[in-house]
Amino acid sequence: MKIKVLLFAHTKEIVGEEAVTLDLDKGGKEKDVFEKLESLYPEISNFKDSLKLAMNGRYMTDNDTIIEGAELAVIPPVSGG
Amino acid sequence: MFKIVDKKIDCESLIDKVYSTKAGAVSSFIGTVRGFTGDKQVKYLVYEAYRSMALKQVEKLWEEVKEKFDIEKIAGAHRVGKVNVGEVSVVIAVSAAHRHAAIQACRHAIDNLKKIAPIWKKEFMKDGKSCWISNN
Repeated sequence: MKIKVLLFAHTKEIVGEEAVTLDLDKGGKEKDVFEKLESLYPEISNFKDSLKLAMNGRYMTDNDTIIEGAELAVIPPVSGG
Repeated sequence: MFKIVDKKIDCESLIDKVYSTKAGAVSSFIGTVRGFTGDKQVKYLVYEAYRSMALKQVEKLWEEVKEKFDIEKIAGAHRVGKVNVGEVSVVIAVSAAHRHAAIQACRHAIDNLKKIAPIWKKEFMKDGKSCWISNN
């Protein structure tokens, strides 16, 4: 399935896009998204441990399965305030 | 109520939103852009937000604050885009029947907003360097 992933802050600058579309297997998890992103953008592997993934505006846990049509977003360490 | 704005925040009108005849106290937090990081001079900051998620996360946080503390109302605003040194980047206001609840709730709200809201700041220094900041 094709899934759109939004990018922000330094992740957006590294990739050079505000969003990317990934081709994922059904039943994919957070780790599958990061593996895919790393294979396409190897620079991400330098700081991937600091990244979180959100689905439909909520932080994902390791057990959550990606739903087709969901809005995914890579969340770098936040710094609001 | 929580909003993300790209113009100067009107602190007074934001604080006005939490006034209540049931309240005997209003506590507020105003975050401003510091002109120094260590010994380096900051020129300005640029904030970026994942708007829809930030609104959702912070509204959830406000619900948590209302459950945890005996308060009347809570409101907040965060600015995005370029924010100059000395300008306001974030405001939170809380009203409660008594001051302790208002102050504690306000502190809990800003501490957790900084942890959970998908908002990022990039620091632009006077020496021409810039970098994304992490709160942790």
